[in-house]
Amino acid sequence: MFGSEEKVAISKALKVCKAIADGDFEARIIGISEKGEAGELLQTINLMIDRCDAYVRESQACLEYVRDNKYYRRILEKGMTGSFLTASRTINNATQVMADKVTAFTSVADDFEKNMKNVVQTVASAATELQSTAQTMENTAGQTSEQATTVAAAAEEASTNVQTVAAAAEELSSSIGEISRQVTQSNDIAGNAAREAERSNDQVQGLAEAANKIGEVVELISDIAEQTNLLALNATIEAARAGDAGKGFAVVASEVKNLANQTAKATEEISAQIGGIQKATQDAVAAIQGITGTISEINQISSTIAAAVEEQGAATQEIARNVEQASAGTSEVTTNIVKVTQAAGETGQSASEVLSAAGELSRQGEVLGQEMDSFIVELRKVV
Amino acid sequence: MAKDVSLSGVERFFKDDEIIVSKTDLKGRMTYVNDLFLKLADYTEEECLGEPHAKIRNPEMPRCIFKLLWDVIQDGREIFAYVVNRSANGDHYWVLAHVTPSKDAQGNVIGYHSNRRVPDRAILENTIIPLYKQLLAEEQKHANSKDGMEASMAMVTNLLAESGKEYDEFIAGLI
Repeated sequence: MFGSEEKVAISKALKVCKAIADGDFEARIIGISEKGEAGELLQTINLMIDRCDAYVRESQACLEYVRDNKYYRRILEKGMTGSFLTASRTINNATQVMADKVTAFTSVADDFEKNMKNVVQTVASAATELQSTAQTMENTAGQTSEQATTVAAAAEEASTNVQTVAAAAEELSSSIGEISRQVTQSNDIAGNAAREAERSNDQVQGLAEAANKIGEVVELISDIAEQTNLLALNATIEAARAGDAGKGFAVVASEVKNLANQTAKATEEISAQIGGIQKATQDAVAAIQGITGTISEINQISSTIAAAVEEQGAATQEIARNVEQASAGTSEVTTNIVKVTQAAGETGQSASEVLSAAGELSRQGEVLGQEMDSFIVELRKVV
Repeated sequence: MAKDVSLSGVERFFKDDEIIVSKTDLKGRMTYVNDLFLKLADYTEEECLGEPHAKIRNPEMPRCIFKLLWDVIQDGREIFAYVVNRSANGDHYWVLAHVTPSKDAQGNVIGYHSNRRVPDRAILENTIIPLYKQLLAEEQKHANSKDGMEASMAMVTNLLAESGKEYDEFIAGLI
């Protein structure tokens, strides 16, 4: 049925086809000298293997790239025919779909990484800031507490001082009362003295009048003595005319004349005495007037003192009122400072808790960052 | 060898659904070529098998591209490269070569395999031909061919550094 040439051809074809059937795509038919359909058969077998070989090499290479996360390697569709071409296109389409998904996924992963890094960074810096703030707060609370203690001590001291001032004001007040009483007494005494001086003045006036009256009487006596002297002179002259008869008479007249002269002399002395009395009463009047003026001055000074004392009293009352208010103020300060101390203590406690929480936040932030980094590394392995 | 044959300036073409196939051993000696290979290269199977693949090398190809190609496949990886080959009569034909190591069941490299497709004409004209001219000119500046190749390789390295991509990703954008 077959000639020897065909038999050789079939034998060549059979050998290669068996190798191909076993998956050995290196096998080819070499040295095809056969003519006609036998030669064509052998050439076609080679062509068939070449196409299969090309498809296998291409698809394998393409999928190896895909395995290594590279999606730019496509099967060359040129030279591919029929089902080879269809299969190649299918693989290329699948590769493109994977490439698109990977690109999309990479973009998502990039965004995710960027966002998460921002978040981690934000958490870290927030934690740091929080720590710093809490630390400051704790310090401030401590300082507040210390200052509150100082203020409490100062308030206590102020309270003591206010009490001292209150006591002093009270003493001042009673001292002012005493002064006021003394001034009143002094006023009374001055009034009495003024009245006494008035009375003395009246008495001195009476004395002066009496002296004047005595002066008038003395003048009358002096006039009488002068007339008596004139009468004695006349008697003497008459006695002389009467001669011896008148001799006795002349002696009496001379005696009367002596008496009148003595009376005149005595009244002169009394007048001089009366002048001395009048001079003395005038001095007394002047002295009493001086006393009255002095008393008046004393009265004026007392009034001034009384007014000043009154002002002092008002001022002392004002001081007492202020002291009372100050006392209320220090008392309020003391109450408030206790609250402040309590609040500072609570703030310190809170700050301490916040500090501890911030530390935990910072640690958690670090853990988050590390977890994120590992996750991103694993994520990158996927694409 | 290559230098002895003049270039005709005539370009040969093949169809979009065709592939040029060749296999070599580890030293680059051809062990299989398909009939399209023979048709374009203008050789018989007997003339090719056992011969180095450089038999169809075109003198207008920068040598640094082949250096890159061998470095990659000897590292067990695949490579795509635009290559202009020379037919026996001096004609030339552009291909997009996909070279892969062939492995046995244990994963040992036992040879190399090249599938060649019709290249995109616009990419050829706009990018590859001007680039290869630059690389070739650089290589020809140097009297010592090793120095020339190092210089052109440096240009390729700079180009890749500017693009920020490895060669495989760079060339994948030019397919």
